[in-house]
Amino acid sequence: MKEQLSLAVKPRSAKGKGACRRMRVESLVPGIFYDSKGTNIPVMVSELPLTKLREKTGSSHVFDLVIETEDGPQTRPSLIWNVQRHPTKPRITHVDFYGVDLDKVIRVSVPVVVTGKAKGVVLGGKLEIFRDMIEVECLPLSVPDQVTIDVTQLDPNENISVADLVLPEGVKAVFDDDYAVVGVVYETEEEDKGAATS
Amino acid sequence: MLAPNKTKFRKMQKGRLRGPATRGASVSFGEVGIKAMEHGKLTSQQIEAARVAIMRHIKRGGKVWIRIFPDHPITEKPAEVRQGKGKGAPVGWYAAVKPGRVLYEIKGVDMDVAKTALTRAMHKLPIKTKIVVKEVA
Repeated sequence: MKEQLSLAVKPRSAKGKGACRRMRVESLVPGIFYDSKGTNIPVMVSELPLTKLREKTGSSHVFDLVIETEDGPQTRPSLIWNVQRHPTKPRITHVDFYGVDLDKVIRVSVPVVVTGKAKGVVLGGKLEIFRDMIEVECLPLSVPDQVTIDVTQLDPNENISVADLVLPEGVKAVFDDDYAVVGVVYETEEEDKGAATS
Repeated sequence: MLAPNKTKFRKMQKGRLRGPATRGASVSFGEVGIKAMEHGKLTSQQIEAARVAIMRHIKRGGKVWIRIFPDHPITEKPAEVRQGKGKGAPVGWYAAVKPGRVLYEIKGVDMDVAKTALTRAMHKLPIKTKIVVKEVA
């Protein structure tokens, strides 16, 4: 069972470059909340709680976004959909929250994590991860934090394709072509010489 | 060394490098990279020297991306020539780099090896840089 997290945000009326810059000076991050029904609420959030939440949730963990309106707090299950960062400073400059319907299937990208040492690597091959993220389709509360792939049985010049992945129940990978996610590349001597000269 | 195959004009005005990089500011292809922390002009020789430093350290295996391209011409007047009489002759190429720009990326080697290779490359560059790791979701 995933931990239920929440983040308090305030709606903002100030918009535009100047207003957003003034917010950032006060350690506030301008953002936007939207959902599939067409709701759009410009919000602002303190930087530190947002950073801490982002470390825990990534972009695939649903949390409660508490929007503190004048009529009282509104709680909306959301995902952190997009984060814009400053090019040189370790700061978030803007954040998008996507409100999810808990009964409706969504598509999200989930990171791939590889475990084990492949047979092919022991024989001198090289493990290559072709995709860092894979797109999955599932209910918001079933989104896995990561997709773990065990590569222990992988021989040289063999791949694990997206169709072969063992995903949790209710989670389906989305793909048109059955692409390779991870594989062991076994380089011949001629290829080695070519690589060494470059 | 990197240089354009063909250009519309042989010489270019210097311009200025104001503000941070808005594009090419995150690690996109590799796992770890070098990010520029100040603006500067990297010549094709410097870009190549840094690339060679990376390749010699990682030996074989892995993949390296160079995220900048020297597409600005450098001109120079001959020694002991008075000012005037037009702009000098093209002598090389440089890439205009703004703070935040990712310069090199590496994938497919151990993180320690990659970081050491990038540190060696950083010593070849005339601007302040730092190592950045790809952010995973």
